[in-house]
Amino acid sequence: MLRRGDVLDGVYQIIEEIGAGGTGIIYKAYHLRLGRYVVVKKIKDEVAARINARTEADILKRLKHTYLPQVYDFLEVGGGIYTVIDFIEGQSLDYYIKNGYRVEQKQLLLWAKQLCEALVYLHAQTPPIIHSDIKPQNIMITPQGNVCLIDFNISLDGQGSSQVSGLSAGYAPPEQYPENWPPMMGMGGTPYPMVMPLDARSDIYSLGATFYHLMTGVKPEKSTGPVTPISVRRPPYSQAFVEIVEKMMQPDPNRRYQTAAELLGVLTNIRRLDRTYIRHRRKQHIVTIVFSILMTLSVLVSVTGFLKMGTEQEAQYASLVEQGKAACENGDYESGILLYDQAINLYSTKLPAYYEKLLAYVEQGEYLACVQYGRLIFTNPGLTEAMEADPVGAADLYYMIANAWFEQENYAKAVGYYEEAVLRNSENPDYYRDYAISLARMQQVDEAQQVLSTAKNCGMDNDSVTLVEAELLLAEGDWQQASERFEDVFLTTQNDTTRYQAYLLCARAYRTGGKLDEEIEVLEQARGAVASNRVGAIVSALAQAYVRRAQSAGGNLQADCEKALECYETLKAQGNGSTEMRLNTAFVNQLLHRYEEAEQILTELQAQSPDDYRPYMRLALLYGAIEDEKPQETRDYTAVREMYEKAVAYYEQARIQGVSDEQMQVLETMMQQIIDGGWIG
Amino acid sequence: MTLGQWMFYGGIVSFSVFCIALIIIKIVLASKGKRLKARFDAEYGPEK
Repeated sequence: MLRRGDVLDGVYQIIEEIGAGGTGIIYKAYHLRLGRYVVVKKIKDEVAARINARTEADILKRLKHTYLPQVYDFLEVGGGIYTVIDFIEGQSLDYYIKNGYRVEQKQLLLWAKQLCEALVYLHAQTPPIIHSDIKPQNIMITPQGNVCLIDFNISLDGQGSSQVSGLSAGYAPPEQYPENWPPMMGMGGTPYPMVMPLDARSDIYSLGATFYHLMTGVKPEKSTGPVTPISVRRPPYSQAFVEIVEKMMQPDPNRRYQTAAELLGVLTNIRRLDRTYIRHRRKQHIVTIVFSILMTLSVLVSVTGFLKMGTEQEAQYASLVEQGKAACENGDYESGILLYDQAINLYSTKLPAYYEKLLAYVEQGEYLACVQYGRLIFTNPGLTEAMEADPVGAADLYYMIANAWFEQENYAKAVGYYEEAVLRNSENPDYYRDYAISLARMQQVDEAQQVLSTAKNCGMDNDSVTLVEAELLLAEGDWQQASERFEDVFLTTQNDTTRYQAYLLCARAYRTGGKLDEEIEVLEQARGAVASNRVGAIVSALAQAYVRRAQSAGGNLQADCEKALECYETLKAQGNGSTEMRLNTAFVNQLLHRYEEAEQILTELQAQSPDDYRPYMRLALLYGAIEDEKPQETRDYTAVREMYEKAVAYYEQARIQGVSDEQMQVLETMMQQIIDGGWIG
Repeated sequence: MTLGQWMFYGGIVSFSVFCIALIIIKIVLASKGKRLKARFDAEYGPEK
């Protein structure tokens, strides 16, 4: 026992005893050489008996931490062991508790974190240093407001694990009390050992108990019995902090924070335990999740809608094409073409609507319009790819244009397009049939034979073969045998298209042979024999046959022209108002000297199609005929010249597209005669 | 307007509405978060 004034080791003069810790007595002393106050701690004899003084000295001297006092010296004097450490200015936490200070939560948290940092440091030593006696008396608060954890010692056993012997009731964890040790440790009446191995969790309990005391002002009960939970005492601190202290003081070490580092992490992020914070975060998560789901659903609905739009658009396209076909079958080509245009607007790169539109032009005899539209299709760069991707569809388009040229009797052009069609689809016998017929009409009999044999190889039906063979006979001048063959076909075939073609070809054979009555007879017969959608074309051919006969030597002009007009009226009633038909109507009226009706029709046509050369050409011819009937002194060919000039201008544009019109030659001749006759300058 | 078009445009519109609503709610929550942070800084001390 040291007294005031004693000098230890010739250096440390004892000033006073300032306390007794779990592991020894503490004195305030004066360092005679350095002239500063230090703390001298005498290790209890029972502890001193078990320690390796040198090793302990080395470990303690090595410790350097902001919140731990510096150990200066380690002495063995008179059989006692002393440690000399920093004298810490300020008051212990015990002082604040006893004086009833209420420490702010912010300050408490700061101290708790600082103490945790000190514990992390101690526990990280090798071997770990367990304080084992954390309590308000052992925590100093410096004048700067920081903590300093004092009064720690270590004692090493042979295994290198730490053992402690400090024990302060209320602050010591249950496992530190001998009565709580497992029975085997005291079996057979042998006394309990003096110490029990402890770990970091014991210090965590003691720290929790210290804060319990600070926060409630009530020292926790001895942990050998039940300890009133801190939450029951309702300290004026946040729920999060109370919960942390409660967890630190769990009787079962496994239910406490397992390391000081873990506790430090929790204290650092204490706001994350706050219920307001948790509610706020939960709200954020719910909002994010709900809106993510809603937005994902929106995207899914939108994508589904987009895909559905595609299928709907395809269905709508198919429906428009079908409606167009139905309209055309009923003779309403105008509506049909409008529907095809709508389909094309939906899918400008799909070929079926283009094909049907071309077919509609051909069926109503608008061959020039068909050719012009075909030209637009083939020069459209947007369709090039579609035609490469769908060669069969492209072949159909070429075939339809070829048919338009065929109907205009421009067989050279037709052959060119049939070749293109065959090139893209060599398996359609219809292409070969019409290709061979075109060649035959160009008197290219050998080539036609060659195409016919190719057609036979790709499965052309017998009726079509007969048609081509008959056409070849016609090319060789044998119109009688040709007409017989055609007749055989239209009487026996089951195919509507073949029957229709056979009638037309047969009529043409009679015409070639100069048998205009038979031609008309065959066409009249055809009128009742072909499918309803083909009747229009037959009636149109019949009207032309009547006009031809009217102009022939054996015809009856008035009666035949009236018959022709009847045919055109029938076509008009069926909704066929094609330019070709109206031009022909005007021409028949002209033949009947009904000039006003003819002029009215042509003027209407000219207004409707101002870029079409044909109304101008017909008007020029009409005005020429009118002037020719006048007395010479009253003739005025000014209007003829005006119409002629316009016709020539627009005809030049049509010629670029391959159009060739014999009537323009007639007009040229007429104009030359007018000029030669000096009727105009 | 076909069903597909309703779905497509409806999806786009609802996505936009949800997007705007989410942005507004996020802004509201962020300002609430700032107030909360100030309160916590006073209560627990400033965050490290």
